[in-house]
Amino acid sequence: MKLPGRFLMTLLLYVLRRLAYMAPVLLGVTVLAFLISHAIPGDPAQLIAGPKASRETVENIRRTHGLDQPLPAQYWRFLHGLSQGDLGVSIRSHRPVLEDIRDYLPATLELTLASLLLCLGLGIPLGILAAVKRNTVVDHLTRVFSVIGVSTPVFWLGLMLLLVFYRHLGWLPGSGRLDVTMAAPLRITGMYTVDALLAGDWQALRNAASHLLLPAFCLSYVYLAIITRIVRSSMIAVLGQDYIVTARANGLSEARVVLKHAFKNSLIPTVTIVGLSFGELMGGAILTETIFSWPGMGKYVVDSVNYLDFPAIMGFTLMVSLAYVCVNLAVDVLYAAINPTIRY
Amino acid sequence: MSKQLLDVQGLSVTFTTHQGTARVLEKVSLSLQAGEILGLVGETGCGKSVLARSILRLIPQPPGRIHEGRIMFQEKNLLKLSARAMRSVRGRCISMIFQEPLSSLNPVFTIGNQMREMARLHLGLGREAANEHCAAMLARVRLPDARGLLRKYPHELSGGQRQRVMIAMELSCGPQLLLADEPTTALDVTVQGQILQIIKEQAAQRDMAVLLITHDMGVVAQTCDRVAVMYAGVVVETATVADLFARPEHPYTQGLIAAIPGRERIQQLLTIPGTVPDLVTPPPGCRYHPRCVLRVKNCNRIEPELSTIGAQHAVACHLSAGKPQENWRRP
Amino acid sequence: MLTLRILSRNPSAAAGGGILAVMVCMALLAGVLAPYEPVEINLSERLQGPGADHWFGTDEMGRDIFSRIMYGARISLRIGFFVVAIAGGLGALIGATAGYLGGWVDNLMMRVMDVIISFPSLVLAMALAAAMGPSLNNAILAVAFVMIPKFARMVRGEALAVREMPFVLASRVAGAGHAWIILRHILPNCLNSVIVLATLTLGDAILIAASLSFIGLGAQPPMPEWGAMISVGRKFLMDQWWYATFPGLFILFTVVGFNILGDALRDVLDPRIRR
Repeated sequence: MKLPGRFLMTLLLYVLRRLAYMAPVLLGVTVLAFLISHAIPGDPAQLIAGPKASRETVENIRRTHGLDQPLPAQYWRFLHGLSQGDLGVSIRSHRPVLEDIRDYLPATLELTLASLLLCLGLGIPLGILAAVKRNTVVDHLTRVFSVIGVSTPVFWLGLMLLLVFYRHLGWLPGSGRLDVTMAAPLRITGMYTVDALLAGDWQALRNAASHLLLPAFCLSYVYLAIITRIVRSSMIAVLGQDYIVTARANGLSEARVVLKHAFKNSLIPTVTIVGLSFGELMGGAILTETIFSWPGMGKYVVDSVNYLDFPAIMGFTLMVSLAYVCVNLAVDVLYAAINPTIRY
Repeated sequence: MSKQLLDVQGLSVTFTTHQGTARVLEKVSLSLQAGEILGLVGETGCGKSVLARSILRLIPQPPGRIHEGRIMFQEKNLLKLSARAMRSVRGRCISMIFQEPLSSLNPVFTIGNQMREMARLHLGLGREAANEHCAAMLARVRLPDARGLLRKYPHELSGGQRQRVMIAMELSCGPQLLLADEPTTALDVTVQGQILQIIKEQAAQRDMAVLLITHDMGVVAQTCDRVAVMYAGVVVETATVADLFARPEHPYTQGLIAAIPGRERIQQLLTIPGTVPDLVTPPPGCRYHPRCVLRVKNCNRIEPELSTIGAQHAVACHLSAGKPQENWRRP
Repeated sequence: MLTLRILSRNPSAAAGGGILAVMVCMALLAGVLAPYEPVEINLSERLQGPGADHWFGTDEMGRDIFSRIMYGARISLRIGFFVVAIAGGLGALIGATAGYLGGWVDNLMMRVMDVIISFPSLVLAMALAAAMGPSLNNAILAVAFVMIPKFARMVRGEALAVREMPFVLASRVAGAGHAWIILRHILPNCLNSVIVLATLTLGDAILIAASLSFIGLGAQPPMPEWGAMISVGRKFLMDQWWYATFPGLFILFTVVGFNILGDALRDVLDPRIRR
C-alpha cells in the first residue's frame, strides 16, 4: 500500500486530536496518583527520613520536600517534577525512582513482549480454528481452555508451573534471567534474548530463552484466553456476513476466504482487546515476576510494597498507567489503519 | 429448441431448525437456456434465495441439506462435482450478485483488491493485466473514472455504484450464468432501472443466461423473458412473461398479479389473505390450499404436479390439470 | 423465576451454579463440617502430606489445610459480595445520574471514570491498598474502587436509552424530581445488566483480592484467606506441594463458577453486553 503525504498528514492530525482529548484524562491520572501517595497513613517526611531520624532531620525533609505547603502547591511541585522526569527518590534504594525503573524496564519488556508473541501466535490461530470448527469438539475444548484461562490466579499458575517443570521434571530453570554462572550478553537493548541474538552468542541465547519460557507462558495464559475468545467470537460474526458468501460465490478457496477476507475484518475488534488487555498483562507481570524472581519492574514494585517505599510504588503506577494510555492510543491509530470506514 | 444451459430437476433442500426440519425446497425443477432471462418470483421466505445458493452449493451444511435432485449445468451435475471443481465453476461459469451491495463487498479491501483477486484466480492474469481488465469491466457498466474507483473502498461509493461494481466484478470472468438475488431491492427506484438495463444489456452482449430473483412483478415485466413463480418452496407456475400476465393459471399467480399496485384502475390495493405457511409442517396436498379462494376437495390431499398446459407454460394446480374435479366452482 | 427455569436447562449454567452452591455450602457449614479449627496449631503434625487424617495435608503450624480452605470460602465469598455491592451500587448510581442528567455532569463523571480506567486494575488496586495500609477491609475497598467504572459505564449506556422512554417523560410531566426518576425508573430498568455484570465481576474481584493478599496487601496470615495461604505456601512449594496447590484450586473453581454462570446469565438476560 502506498502512503501518500496527505494520508500521513491526516493521520498526524488524528493523533494530535486524540492527544488533546486525552490531556484532561492524563492530568486526572496524575491527580489521582498524587492523592493516593498523599493518603499514606502516617507522616511522609518521617517515612522518607526513616524511623530513627531526629526531629530536626524530619522537619528539614519536610521543608526541602515542600511537605509543609498546602496540597495544591504540593501538587504543582509534583507536576513540575514529573515534567522533568522526577518521580522522587526511592526510600529503599536511595536512588531516583526513574533510574530504578529504567534499570528494571528491559527485563519487564522482554517478558511482556515474549508473552504477547505467545498470546498472539497461539491465540489467533486457536480462535480461528474454534470459529471455523464451531460447535465441534475443538470448539468446546477451546471454550473450556479459555474459561479456565480467565479464571486462573496467575500467581498460582506460576507456582504450579514451577512445581511441574522445575521441581519434578527439571526441564526448565525456576528463577532469574540467566544461570548465575553465566555472564550477561553485551548490553544493547537490555533484553538478554535479543542481546544474545545480536551478539551471536548461542549459548547465552539458549540459556536466556530457557529462563524466559516458563514466566512468559505463565503471564500469557490469561491473556491468551481473552484473545482466543475475542478472535473466535468476532470471527464467527464475520463468517456470517454477506461478503463472505460473495467471496465463496466468487470461487475463492476456503483458506483464502477465512485467512484473507474474514481474518482482516475480525482483527478490528481483536486489536481493541489487545490494547485493553495490556493492563492485564502489566498486572500479571507484577505477580509473574515475583513468582519467578524475574528482576523487572513488577518484582521491584512488590519489593517496594513490602518496604512501604511509596515514591517507588507511585512512580511505577504512574509509569505503567502512562504506558497503558499510550498503548491504547497506538491501538486506536492501528484500528483506524485497519478499518477504512473510520474517518480520521 | 437449443440445449438447456441449466437444468434443475427435482431439487429438495431441508434446513434443520429448533422447531424441526423445514422443507425449504420441494422437488423444484426449472431450466434456463443461454441468453435467456428467467424471473423467479415469490414472497419473502418462499425459497428463491435458497434455490440460487443451492445451485452454487453455497447453503451452509449443516443446518442445510440437499436431499435429492440434480443440478445439470452444461451437462454436468454440479451436485456431483468435487469441492475443487465446484470452486472453479463459482465466479467463473456461474456468478451471483446479491440484494445489499454494501454488505456484499468486503469493507476492508479496496474495490480493486477484490476485483483483481477474482480475475487473477480465474483468468490467471498478472497484477497489471488484472488491473487493466477490471478497469475495463467497470467502464462497461458505465462507471466513470474506473482507475480511480479501483483504489476506493466500498463505503466511499453510492448504492447504485456499488451494485454496478458488484455486476462488473461478477461478470469479469465471463460467466455463462448470472444468479441475481434481488439486485435492485435495496436501491432507489431511479437507480433500479439503470441496473436492470445494464443486466439486460450484458446478458444480450455475452449470450449470458440470468436467473433474476425478485418479488416485484414490475421488474419481471420490464426485464425477463420467462417467469417461474414459487410458493412455499414449490414452483407453482412457469410461463413466458407475456403469457403469465395475460393468462395466469395458478390462483397464487393470479393473486400476485392482482396485487400489483395501479393495475386496471383497482383503487383498493389487493392482498392475498393469510401468510406463508410454516415449512416445518407444510400443509398437506397443495401448499397453497389454506389461502386459496378456489380450493377444491382434493387440494388438501393430493400434491399437484407441475404439468404443461401450453407452449412453455406449466402449472401445478388441480384446477388446471385438464381433468375437472368434483365439486369445484369459481366464485 | 422464568430466568431460573431457563438457566436450569442450560448445562453450563447448571455447572456454574453447582460449583457455587458447593462453595456457599462450604462457607455456611464450615463450622459444622470442618474437621478441625482453622487456626488450631498442632506442631506435632506440621507439614503433613494429604492423607486420611488431613485430606489436603497440614501447614507449617500443623493446621488442617482442608478446614482452612472451608473457612476461606467464607472470606472469599464475602470479599466478592462486598466488592460487587460497593462497586455495583456506586457505579450504578454514578452511571444512572450521568446518563440521565447528561450535560456537564455526565461529562465530568465519565472523565473521572476514564481516569480510573487508565490504570491497569491490579496496579491501581495495589497502589490504593498500599496507601491505605495492608488489611483485608482496605483490600476490599481498593478492589471495589477499581471496579466502579465498569458498572458506571454500562449503566450510563442503559440510562441513555431508558431516559428516552415514554414513562420517564410521563413521570416528569407528573412532577417527579430527578432523584425520584433516577431511583424509581432508571435504575430498576438497568437491573438485569447490573446483575449480569455483577456475576462476571465477582470472579474478577475474588481474583484481584487474592492477588493482593498474595503480595501481602490483603488478608494477613494467619487468616485462612486463600491468596494469603498460597503466599505462605510458596515458601514450602518445593517439598510440600499441597500447601499452595489446594487453596489455588479452590480460587480457580470459584472463579470458573462465577464466570460460566455470568456468561449464561448474560445469554439469558442481556445479550447486548459483551465483555
